[in-house]
Amino acid sequence: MGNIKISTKNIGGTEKASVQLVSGSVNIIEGTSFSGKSSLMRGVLLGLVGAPNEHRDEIERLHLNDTDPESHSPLLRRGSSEGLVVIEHDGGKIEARLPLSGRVSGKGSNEKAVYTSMLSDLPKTNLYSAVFDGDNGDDFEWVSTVVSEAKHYIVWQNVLRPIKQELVTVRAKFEQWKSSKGDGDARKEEIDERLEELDGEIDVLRKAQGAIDDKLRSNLKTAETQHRTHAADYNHLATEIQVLKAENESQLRRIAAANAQKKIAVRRLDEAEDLENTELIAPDVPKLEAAIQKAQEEYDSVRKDAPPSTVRIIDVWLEEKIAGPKLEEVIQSERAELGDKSKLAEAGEILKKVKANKDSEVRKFMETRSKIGSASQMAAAARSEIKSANQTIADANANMGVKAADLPKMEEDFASSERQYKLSEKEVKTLRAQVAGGDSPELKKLTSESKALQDEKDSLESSTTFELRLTSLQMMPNEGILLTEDLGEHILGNGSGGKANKGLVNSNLMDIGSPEVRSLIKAEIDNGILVNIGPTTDWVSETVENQQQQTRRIFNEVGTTLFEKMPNSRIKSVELDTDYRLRQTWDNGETTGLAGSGGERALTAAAILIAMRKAFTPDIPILMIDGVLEKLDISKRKILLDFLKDYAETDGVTIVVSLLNEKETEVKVSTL
Amino acid sequence: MLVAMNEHIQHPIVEVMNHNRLHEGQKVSRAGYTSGLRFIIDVTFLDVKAIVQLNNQALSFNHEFCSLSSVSISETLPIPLDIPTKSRFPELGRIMLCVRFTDGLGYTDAKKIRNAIGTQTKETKDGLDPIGTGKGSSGARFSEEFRSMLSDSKWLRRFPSLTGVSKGLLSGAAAGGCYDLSYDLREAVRQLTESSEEIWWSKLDPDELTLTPSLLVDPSEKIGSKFDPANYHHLEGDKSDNLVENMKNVEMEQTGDSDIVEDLTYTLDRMMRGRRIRKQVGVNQGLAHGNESFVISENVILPWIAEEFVNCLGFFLMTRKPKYWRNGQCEVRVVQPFSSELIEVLKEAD
Repeated sequence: MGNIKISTKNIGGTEKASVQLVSGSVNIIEGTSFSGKSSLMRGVLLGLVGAPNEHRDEIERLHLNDTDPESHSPLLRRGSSEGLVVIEHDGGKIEARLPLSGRVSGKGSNEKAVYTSMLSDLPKTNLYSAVFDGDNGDDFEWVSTVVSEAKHYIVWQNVLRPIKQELVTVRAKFEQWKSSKGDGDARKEEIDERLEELDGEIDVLRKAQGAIDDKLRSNLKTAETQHRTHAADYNHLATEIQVLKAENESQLRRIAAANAQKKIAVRRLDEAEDLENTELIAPDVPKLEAAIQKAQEEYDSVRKDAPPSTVRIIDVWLEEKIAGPKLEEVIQSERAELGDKSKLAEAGEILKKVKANKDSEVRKFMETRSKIGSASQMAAAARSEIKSANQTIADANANMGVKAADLPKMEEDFASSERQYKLSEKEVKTLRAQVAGGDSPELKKLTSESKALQDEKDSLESSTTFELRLTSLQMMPNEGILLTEDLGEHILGNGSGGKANKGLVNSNLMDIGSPEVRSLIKAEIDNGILVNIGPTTDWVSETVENQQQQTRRIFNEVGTTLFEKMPNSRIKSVELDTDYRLRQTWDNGETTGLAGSGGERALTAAAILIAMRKAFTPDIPILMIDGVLEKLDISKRKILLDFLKDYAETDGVTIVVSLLNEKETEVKVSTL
Repeated sequence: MLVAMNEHIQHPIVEVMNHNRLHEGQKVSRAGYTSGLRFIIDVTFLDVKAIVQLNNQALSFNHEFCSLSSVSISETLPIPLDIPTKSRFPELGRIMLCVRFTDGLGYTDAKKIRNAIGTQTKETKDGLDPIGTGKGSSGARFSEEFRSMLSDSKWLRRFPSLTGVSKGLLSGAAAGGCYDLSYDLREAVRQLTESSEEIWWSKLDPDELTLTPSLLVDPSEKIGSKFDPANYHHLEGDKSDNLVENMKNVEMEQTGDSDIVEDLTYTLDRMMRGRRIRKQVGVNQGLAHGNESFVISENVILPWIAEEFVNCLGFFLMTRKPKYWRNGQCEVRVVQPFSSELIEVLKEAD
């Protein structure tokens, strides 16, 4: 079993920490209260989750980007300027940095992990609140939708499936074209050989029949030989030039597509950088609080020494202005007793205003900071797209540079060969015209055979390019791509192999329609995307299926088998119905919604967490449970741990569970 | 020597620049002589190790006509500067202003094309130098203060060599021109920081003791200094707008491609925004009593001036001679002495 190495710096209350976790096992982190167990696990979660974007609410709820030293649970160690989490596993590396500004950056993370990798009671994760506090009652639909991207993947699936099907036919046609071209080449060789023989036989006959003198015969023979050689040269060069031009066109198309991609990415980067450059001015909180304090003192001084309860009632009434006529009369009278009405109202207004001012300034700052955080991610993605486009352009230029350099010379050679070929053809015709007679049946037979062979040769497949035009991509006639044999093999592949093009799909998942997906695929044809269409389609379909149904299916499997292992449990099974409502079956046969003791709920929560991880973030190697074991009695704890151990071993997942141990003053990691 | 260098470094040379000089005291236009060659090699997609090897290989070049070989790193700047480039922009160094010739693009008359090709090199040699004075020069477009940030200009002709370096590469007409200049932003940053005190920013209150001091720099008000970007060539209001309009008209005459004009307009609009963004500095930037001026100059003024300095030069390249300089192919490059540390920084940022 491999190990996962976790290193943190300035996370929680610890300056530096490093632990080794064993993959495919349950790793128990023990320690006293405040020993840093939860901080370490939240640090790991920060690494897995990375910078907030889509799921900012949950990330902020768990204080994963909290750097405020005055907050009750900042993740950044108080007094330090930057926190760092590094997770090394199977040669892979996940890294997250948490600077004082709260703008998390990193690599290798997956934001969805904030819902799928941890169950914790302090701060409470969404799952914890849903299961232990019953926040949403029996409604657990959120587990299948909160991080699901199924609807986006379906757009890709709808485009990819027809392409995959059409490619089967196109590949077959391409193979047929190649083979008919190959057969044609072989037949041409045969014909050439026979033509040479026929020329010899005709020559002998002509001589025997006295239809030609020796000099003319010799000249004609030489001219015919030269003509054949020039024709072969001419055809060979014509083919080479056509191939080279088709390949260059492919490179030019790659450049055009990369330039278009680059232009969009540059604009996206500009937009993101403008957002990053937004003014970020932290509010002067002490000053704002001083203003509130001053306004409060002013207000207190004008309201005199009325009982605080009366003042509180009047304050609430001033805010809401809702009361029956009799109550309002009493309040007005009490308010008059308070002193100078106008001054009090004015002081009250000022107090309200300065409080609102502080709230608004702080909110504005938080919102701006959050926007800037999202912009940094957007900018990084755009930079990566620009880099990839530049790479494609450089590669296409390099390919074209080397081959295109030969083109002018080849065209010159071709022109020269064409001249020679035509000259020799003319010469042969002229010499043949000088041949007198020669119309014996034998000669006629040989001549007509020669002509028939020549006609057959001309009719053989001579096209050097195959036109690729996919109707599933709605390619117009002028969008057809001419493929040479090599290029076709490179672009179409043989239908096996290839790998899922996850990057392309994932980076173009949101707000995209079928026409845009088709355009993206068209733009990638020259980069060989068709080779990967099969695996990509399969992967997309699998993802859709996972995200749509797998959460429920896995949960139901786990929910049934788990409780079967607990003969003394009152609950016999836990399931999600088709409306994602939680159904629990009890030992008396009754079926209810969410209910049960802490232990039973812990098992339910663990089952949901496992199901969500499997469905949405199967690549994330860690699953963590914090603050739950303590809530279970020894027997239930053992059942949960045994269940987790089974799951860890089967799926190769690293499970981390915290356990309060008042004897361990420092965090200790052991394996179950 | 061209071929010898090409064979020696075993790596595609994308361009050769020829440092063309005149004999001292020469007053009239006539052919100069080559006093140096600059070989441009694209290392964008090489890793650090390969670049270091290439450097060693280039430095070991020996030839009877070559007395000195040196290697520099040139980085084509995005215009406007993006955030990472701005944050590492050196406050002094060398900069190259590069243009590609239009070769009479847009003309249909053979005589006009010949004329354009015949004059573009001279027009460029005179007009591309931003600190040049005299007939046909461009120095007057910039304030004396702006020009003081630039010095020591050197003229080079450009010969692209996509299909390999051959013996006769430099004997044909150049495909473009380039000025290599020294630049130094330190004085501008110093003066602006000093003269903006109590206008854009104020020192920390010595009586206010706090562990987390912070200062607001609000440059929204223009100040008298000519170093204030509001006075740069690209932010001259109607005058700048007219230059842009002229550039667009020329582009339409040359290519008639509205997409290109749209792209150019987009870039110029971004360059000419003249944004004066408020910034806050605090403990993250090392702010403490007594070092306010230093922190503000390093973290606020220098990146801002760098951005507007490059914008100004970019604007100049795009609008000065659109008839002769191919728009969209002008480049501002920053040149720094070779060091493996610099390569690592640039590769990390890539």
